[in-house]
Amino acid sequence: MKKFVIFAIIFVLALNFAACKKKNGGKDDAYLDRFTVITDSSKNSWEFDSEEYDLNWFIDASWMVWPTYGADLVSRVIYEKTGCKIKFSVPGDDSGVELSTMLSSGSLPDVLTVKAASIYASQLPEQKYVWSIDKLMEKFAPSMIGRYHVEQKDVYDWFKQDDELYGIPNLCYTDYYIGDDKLPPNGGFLVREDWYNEVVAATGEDMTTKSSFLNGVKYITDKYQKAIGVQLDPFTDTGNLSVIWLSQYFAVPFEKEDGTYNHQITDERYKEVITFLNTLYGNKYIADANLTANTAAVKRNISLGNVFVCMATPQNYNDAFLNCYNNGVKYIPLVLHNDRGDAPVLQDLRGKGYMLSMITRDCERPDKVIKLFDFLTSEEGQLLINFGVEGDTFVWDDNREHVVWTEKYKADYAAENTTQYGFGMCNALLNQSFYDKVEPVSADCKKASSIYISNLKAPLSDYSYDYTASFLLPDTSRGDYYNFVEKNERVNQIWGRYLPQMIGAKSNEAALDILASTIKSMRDNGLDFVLSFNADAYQRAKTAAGMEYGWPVYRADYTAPVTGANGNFSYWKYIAR
Amino acid sequence: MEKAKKTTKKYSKSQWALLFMAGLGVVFLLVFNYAPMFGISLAFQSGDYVIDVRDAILNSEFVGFDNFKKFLTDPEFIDVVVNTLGLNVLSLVLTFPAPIIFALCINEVKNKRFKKVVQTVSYFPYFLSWIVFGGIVLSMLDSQTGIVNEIIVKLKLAAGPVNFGLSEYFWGLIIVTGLIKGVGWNSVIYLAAIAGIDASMYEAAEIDGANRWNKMWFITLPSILPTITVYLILAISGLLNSGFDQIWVFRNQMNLDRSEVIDTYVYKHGILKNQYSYTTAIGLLKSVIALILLTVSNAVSKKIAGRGIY
Repeated sequence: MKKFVIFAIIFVLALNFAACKKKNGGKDDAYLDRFTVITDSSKNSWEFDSEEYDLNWFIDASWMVWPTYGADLVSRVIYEKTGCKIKFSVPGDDSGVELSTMLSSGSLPDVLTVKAASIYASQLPEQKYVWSIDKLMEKFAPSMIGRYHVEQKDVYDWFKQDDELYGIPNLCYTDYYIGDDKLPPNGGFLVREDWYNEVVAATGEDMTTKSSFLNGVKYITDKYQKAIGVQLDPFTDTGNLSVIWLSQYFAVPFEKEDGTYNHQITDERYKEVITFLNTLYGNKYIADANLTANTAAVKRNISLGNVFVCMATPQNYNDAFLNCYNNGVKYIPLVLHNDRGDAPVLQDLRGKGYMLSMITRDCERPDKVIKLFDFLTSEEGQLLINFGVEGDTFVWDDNREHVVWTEKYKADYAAENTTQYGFGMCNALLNQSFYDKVEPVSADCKKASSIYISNLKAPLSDYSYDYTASFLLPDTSRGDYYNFVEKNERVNQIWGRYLPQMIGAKSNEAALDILASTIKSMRDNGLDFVLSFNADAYQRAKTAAGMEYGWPVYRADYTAPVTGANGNFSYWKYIAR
Repeated sequence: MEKAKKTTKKYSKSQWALLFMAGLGVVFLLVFNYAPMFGISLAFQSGDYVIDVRDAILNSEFVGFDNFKKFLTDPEFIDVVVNTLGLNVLSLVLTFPAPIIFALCINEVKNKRFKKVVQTVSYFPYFLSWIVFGGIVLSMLDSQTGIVNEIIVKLKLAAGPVNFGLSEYFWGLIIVTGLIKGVGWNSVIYLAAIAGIDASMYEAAEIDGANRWNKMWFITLPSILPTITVYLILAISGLLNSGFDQIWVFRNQMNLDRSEVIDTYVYKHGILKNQYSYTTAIGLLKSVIALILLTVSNAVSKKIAGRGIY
């Protein structure tokens, strides 16, 4: 019996070893030789191939679901045009566990959409798990080359690795479509409008300075027992978004005057951010519960309409603001200045991309999938996923600048019968700047509530700028890159751990002491190495973005904007406010 | 004599069925417990940040005990180990006896309907996931909208609302919620053991004039002692295993100095950050310590109580 057990163990271990030797099953470059090469770039690549192909597509974002796929107009046309039937899957939550497990087991789908800022975006190409988009474009989709090598070259330059593109970004704002348009900020402070008006009437102050802000919050929290003076985002392992937004309001630069990288947290000017938040906490305007709250708790607070000043990221709580709106509680933006009276310098919504869609080397038909990508990223494809079919659901306006809904679509919208179309579902390859450029200018087929939500931060657009350089572009080919990754995570975690303690400190002095000891601890754990790496990554980012100065204030054309306390309402879209 | 020997070697149909079922258990062990042991080699390799685990095992460099050293010199090491041991020892001391006491008490309840109601109510929380149960608890304890704080404030038990999310309340929260969720269900095994006690022993004790307390102390408790011993040894060997789900639900940035335990640390670094080698080393270290604890507690049990689990 003993012999049998020993044999069985050895057998199972040997099987395991054999399974290991199989590796990831990825295909080498020679695999591409079996498919027909297309050289004619004058014709759309997908028009060369009508063969059917079923593919799996995993998107690492739980909210990017497409529940009507297969039954709606968009998916039907995609199939008719490309022959592709897509089986989308998304994780149950956004912890990243499902993706991590999938990758570690080596079983990859045909297409993988990962967050552009995640380590996988560089690891997957580096460890040869995905095809070069450039190679595939050259061989099988030449009609796509101009889009990324010429029109959206800024996006290409941003994401290329070893001079090749490995993933197509979504939600990107390419210069090709944005031009000089002003965009709303990414984060923005909102105040409950009726209470704000009461403050202005009672105190005569507009809350745009720190002292008047404190007076205003005091007035409301004294008057309304249930009022939550200031609501911050939840604290996470690496910090707090509201604190980042406040540092932008207080214009703490991420660049030195000589154009080199500046680490904001160790900048003297950052102290003002910490002490102001600490003062808000000390006066109980930031609740003790906020330091330990999760997203659900923040949502609950906003939904109930109890929040006076919301410093939490507005777009993360759209449903909560919608609930307030439906109960007659409205929010408007607020402009807040630092002690020096500088205008806020806010990060605009622009980004070169949120997620990257990559074609894995496990894909049986990469030639087919690149044609699908070509179609979806083309003007025809982008129009389809957002507005449907020209002549059927939309037409162009006279100048061919904006689309206009057809009467047929308007009737279906009025009858709440639009799920048959499937618009706005294919987010994995959505080019946001194209959408913004061509979307209908009228309020047709838009609810008043959704117009309100989409305009929440718009009045702050005068204060928002291109922050692309601050996103950093680390050199992933450097030998010490993973050392950087590890140390960067470590120092970020130290920051995340002590930030709530700074804000919750007993006094401003105590808060600054914790800040100093936190920075020391970060230095002990490799901050200086991280900063030197970041300095290089910053210059690489500026080069990719074609900028001389990353910090807007240093740019020659910068003039500090002047608006009312609640911004500039001329930025409201669809209807005048 | 020879005939009798032959008979014992032959298995009946039902015995074959039992052997087959046991065989499935062995296969399960081999596939899910022995086969993955192959991955232990990762603890001695530089396989961090390699996407495919198999690739990491086969192609990473041998680095000896570097991954172990890294953990032992990590600034979080002390906190993580203190939290793991502190929380689990406290939990063992306070929550291990609770189901035994509960089972003894339930056994003494004579009203069958009441007994069933109490058992059902006490079992129910066990069937809720920690996400759901923790969510309910967090809502109740919320310092702005929670009912518990409303009661505290109304009864003037504290100067103001209490923020149970702070680190000073974390261990208490874990133990109390662990008790609420587990005491009923964990008592089942002891109730089963009590049910197996020979009724004639109680009858004999009654004749000798024993009261309920005497019967419980001198008959019930000694009779279930073997069960208690086995569970105690297993609990001691699991001292480094914290309830991951439970801790993950209640942790936040303000209680990290009390809530970061080995399991959450490994999850963060291994699953979320691809540091497979580093976290395999931590897992292996944990397993070795658990094995030592199991061996020691078993030996102590054998010496003191005369029985162990092997």
